[in-house]
This record gives sequence, structure tokens and C-alpha cells, in this order.
Amino acid sequence: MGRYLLKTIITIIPTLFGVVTIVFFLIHLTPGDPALAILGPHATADSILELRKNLGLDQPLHLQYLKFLGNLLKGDLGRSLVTEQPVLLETLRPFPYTIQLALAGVLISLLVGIPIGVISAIRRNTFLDYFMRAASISGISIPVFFLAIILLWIFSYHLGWFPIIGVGDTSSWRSLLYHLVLPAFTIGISMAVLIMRLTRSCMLEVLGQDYVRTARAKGLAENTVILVHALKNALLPIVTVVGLYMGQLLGGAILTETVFARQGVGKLLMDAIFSRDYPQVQGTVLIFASAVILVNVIVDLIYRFLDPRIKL
Amino acid sequence: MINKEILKPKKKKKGMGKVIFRFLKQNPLALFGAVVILISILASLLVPILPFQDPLHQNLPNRLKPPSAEHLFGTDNYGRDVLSRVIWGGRISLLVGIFSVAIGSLIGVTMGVISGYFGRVVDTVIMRFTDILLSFPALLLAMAICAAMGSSLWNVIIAISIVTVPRFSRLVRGSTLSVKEADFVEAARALGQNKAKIIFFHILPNVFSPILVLATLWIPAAIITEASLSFLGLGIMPPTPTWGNIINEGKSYLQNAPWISIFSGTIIVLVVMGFNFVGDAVRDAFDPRLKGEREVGRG
Repeated sequence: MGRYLLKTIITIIPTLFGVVTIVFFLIHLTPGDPALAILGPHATADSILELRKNLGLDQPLHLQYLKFLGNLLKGDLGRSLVTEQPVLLETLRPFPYTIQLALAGVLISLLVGIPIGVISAIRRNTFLDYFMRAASISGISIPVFFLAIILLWIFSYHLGWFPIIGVGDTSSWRSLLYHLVLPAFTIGISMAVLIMRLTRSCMLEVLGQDYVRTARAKGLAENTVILVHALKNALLPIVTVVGLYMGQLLGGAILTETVFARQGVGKLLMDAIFSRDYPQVQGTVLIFASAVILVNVIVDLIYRFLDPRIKL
Repeated sequence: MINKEILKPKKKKKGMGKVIFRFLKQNPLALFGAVVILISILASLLVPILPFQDPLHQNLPNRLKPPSAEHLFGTDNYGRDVLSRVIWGGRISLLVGIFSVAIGSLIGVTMGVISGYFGRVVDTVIMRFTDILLSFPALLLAMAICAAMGSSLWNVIIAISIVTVPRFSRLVRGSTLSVKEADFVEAARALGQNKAKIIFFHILPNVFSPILVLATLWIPAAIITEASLSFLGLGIMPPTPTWGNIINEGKSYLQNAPWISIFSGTIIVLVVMGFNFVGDAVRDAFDPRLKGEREVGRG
């Protein structure tokens, strides 16, 4: 276990380093002067020079890069140009809202996707199965932001059941939960269609195995066979895939937060982009990407933990 | 007893058109998809000569009018015809989707073949780079590129191409590795053919079907990514219509003019569904192993 962990950490370091490098050069090689972009066309030459100095833009690119790496190792991502607060702090503040949204979304997608997938696999090639499969392929074709708009239109504007924007009153968990329902369902449904397809194909594979036949032959109840013998083994690849979808999930969170105007990390990133707050954009993208890498490592660990055939 | 079937002369090889026709006849969903794709491509190509209204023509007294015989999809907040905007928008959305997958797959396939065929340091470098690109969420990377480079049609195409590249290079590298060891490649090498010839005539034709499958599944993903970018205001800017920015503009009028967002969104879903139906059928026909490749960038 210890050796495996060490090996994983050693392999993700170059990846993280690559991500940092790409983000740095992406932001710093932009055509045009960030200082000019920040100050606008009416800025005086002096104020542009001063801002360039403050941002460290007057130094050669490789020095800026080394300084950036050095600061990063100290956990310093720079300061936001808008709020003048440390970028790390600014990014961590809305993080809970995004995590709430992501977790609730995953939970809904599993609760909806796995049972439907199992039923579809058991009733293979019946009308129900065809219907579910057609529904899932249609579901895959709906952009997340459009799904969000449809839900918003039906449940908030038409029926008036749910609030339209925001995360709600942060001091009351009822209000938070109430504001979470539609965004969470947006992400949940968009992921559930993927999970359903996956569960179906995993179940079909497992149901064809010898040990399932043995379980049936020794007279176990069909429910036991399906839930204990088949599903338990089909769950393994599902765990991995949920991890693989993490990046997509966070992308979906950015779009969902924009539609529902939730103050999450996605909204923070969008605001930073539009106010040309370069350090904040850089920091948010970095934290986002690192989070995805870390989640993938964790999922890999869980997978190894669940599958006794793989020795750590 | 001789089986008379064997003695009959072999049938002529079927033409490409016939193969496609038979394929579509066996897959009603793919047929539906192909028809939708065909209509959408024809509409985007022909829209300049079709009798649609100018998508930029403003008519303020006529703003936010519900669907009618004159404006099938209603009008938006500037009184512009939504149907015409959706069709003109489709021109751009389809162009971005097809072009970025074409460019991205070309670069990705080249990288993948080189990586798989030459191995060693080249392989390590290319695959490290691929891993790093893959560790970014697709939409996030495209957003960062667009935010850095500014919004324009070409920047959006470049951004989505970059997101597409690692998917193809990883896939093609794997296929190349397995084809490389095949006897016919060994034979070509023994005959003294040069590397370029081996790659072009022996390896590429044999890794073609997974590439085709991934491409058909990535075009709808690219269309959705473009729509997401312009929905967020990072893609192509209004007044030029694209599917994403029409929905974004309509979002503010969801209460009193829902048709703007809902109709244009429905068109995206239809077209993307068309591509997905065809893609799924192509995948099942060519390469059932690719079933996991559905983690396409849906935002």
C-alpha cells in the first residue's frame, strides 16, 4: 500500500508540473498586454508601466515562470486583481458550494442510473430496455446548460416550485438544500444517462459469467443472484468510470452554476475571465485541474481497495 | 454431396453507396440520424439562397413575438427571426464541430502513429504530453484557451482542436502498437520498404476504423463544446448567431419568451442526437471495443 502510494505520487508530480506549465504559458503568452487590457484603452503610459511592474510583467518570461513556480511551492498563487485577496483564499471560499453540487449530482446519478441500468439488463431486448436505451442516447445529446434551462423553465418559471437563482441563505441548511435541488438534478440526470448505459453493459457481462449460473443452480433467489452476486461485481467498473467523469462533472458544474447563478468556483472563474483578473483565472484553472487529477488518484485507490484481485 | 453455393461465382464487391445504404436500412436509428445530419448540413449550406429573413435584421416593434406563420420560431428581443438565426447559427456550429475534429484528429493521429511506431523517447514525450492534456477537463481547457486568446471563430476551432488531439493520439498509439507487430508489417520491413511507406500504406489503413468511430462520436461532442463556450460568452460573439449564444441571449427572456432558448436548444439536441445515432451504429459495426469511449466532452 505504502509503496503503491509513493509510486502514484511520483507519477502525478510530472503531470501536475505539466498542467502548471501549460496554464502559466497559456495565460502569459496571450496576445496583447494584460496591463493594457486591465486598465482599458484610456490608461496613461505611466499607469500601465506601474501595473506591469506590480504584476512582474516587466521581467523576462523565464524569470516570471521561475518566480511563479517558487511561489506555488509556498502555496502562493498570487493576488486577485479585483479583490486584492490571495487567489487561493478567493478560490477556496466558493469551493463548498461546488462540492455540494458535485456530490449531490453524483448521488442522484447513481441512485437513478444504477437501478435503471440493472432493470434494462435484466429485461434485455424488451420494450422497456429499448425505451431506456433510446432515452439514454437522447439524454447524452442534451447539452448540460440546455438541460439546466429546461428544468429552470418548467420547475421555476412555470410551476414555481423551486427558486430561480443563488445558493440560498447560507445559515440555513433547508434553504441551501432547497436551492440545490434543480442544479443537482441537472448534473445528476446528465450523468445518470452515462451511468445507466455503463451499468447495463457491465451487468450483461457479469450475468453471463459462470458463478452467476452457479448461484442460480444452487437455488438462490433471483434477487439475491442479481443484487449480491451480479451487481456487486458490476459496481467495480462503475466506480472507475465515475472517476473518469469527474472532469466532465466539473465542466458541467461551471455551466450549471452559470445558469442558476450559484456562487461556486465555476461562477468565480467566469467572473474572473470577464474582469480580466489573470492571476485569479490562472489559479482557478490550476486548482480545478489539480482537483480532477487528485480525484482520479483517489478513485484509483478505491478501485484497488474494492477489487481484491489487485494487490496494492 | 457438393454444396452448390460454393460453385457459384463470387458476387462482385459491393460499391460504397450500397454498403452505406444496407447499413442504414439495418439501423433505423442511424437512418434517422443520417437524415437529420443531411438536412442540417444542406440547410446550413443553402441558407444564403433560401428565402429566410436576414438573421441580423432588427425589427424592434416586433420584438419577443411568439411563434407564428411568419416567424415559425418567434422573434427575439431585437425582433430578429429566431428560426433564421438558428439556421445561420447552425452554419457556424457545424463548421466548428466538423473542422475542429478534422484538425484535431489529423494532429492527434500523426502524434499517435509516430508515438506508437517509433516508441522509446518519442513515445514517452508524446504520451506524457497527451496525459497532461487529458488531465484537464475538456471544457475547462477550451475555456482557458478561449479566454487567453480572445473570442473568434478560429480561436474556438483551435481551442476545440487542442482538446480533441489527445483523445486521438492515445487511441491511435494503442492501435499502432498492435498493428506494428503484425506479420504483414514485418514482411514490408523485411522487403526494405521505408518507414514512411510502411506507416502510410500498412499501418494507417489498419487503424482507420477506430479513428472513424472516434471522429463520428467526437463531432457531436465538439458541437456541444462550441455551444457551451458561446453560451458562456467565451465563444463566437453576438450578433453573429451560434446555437450557444442564441440560447444565452434567450435565457434572460425565459419567462416571457421561452421560445428563443427552447426552440434553438431543441435543434441542437436533434442534430447532436443525429450524430450520436450514426456514431453509435458505426461503432457497433466497426469496433465494439470502443464502448467505453463515451466520456466525450459534454461540458
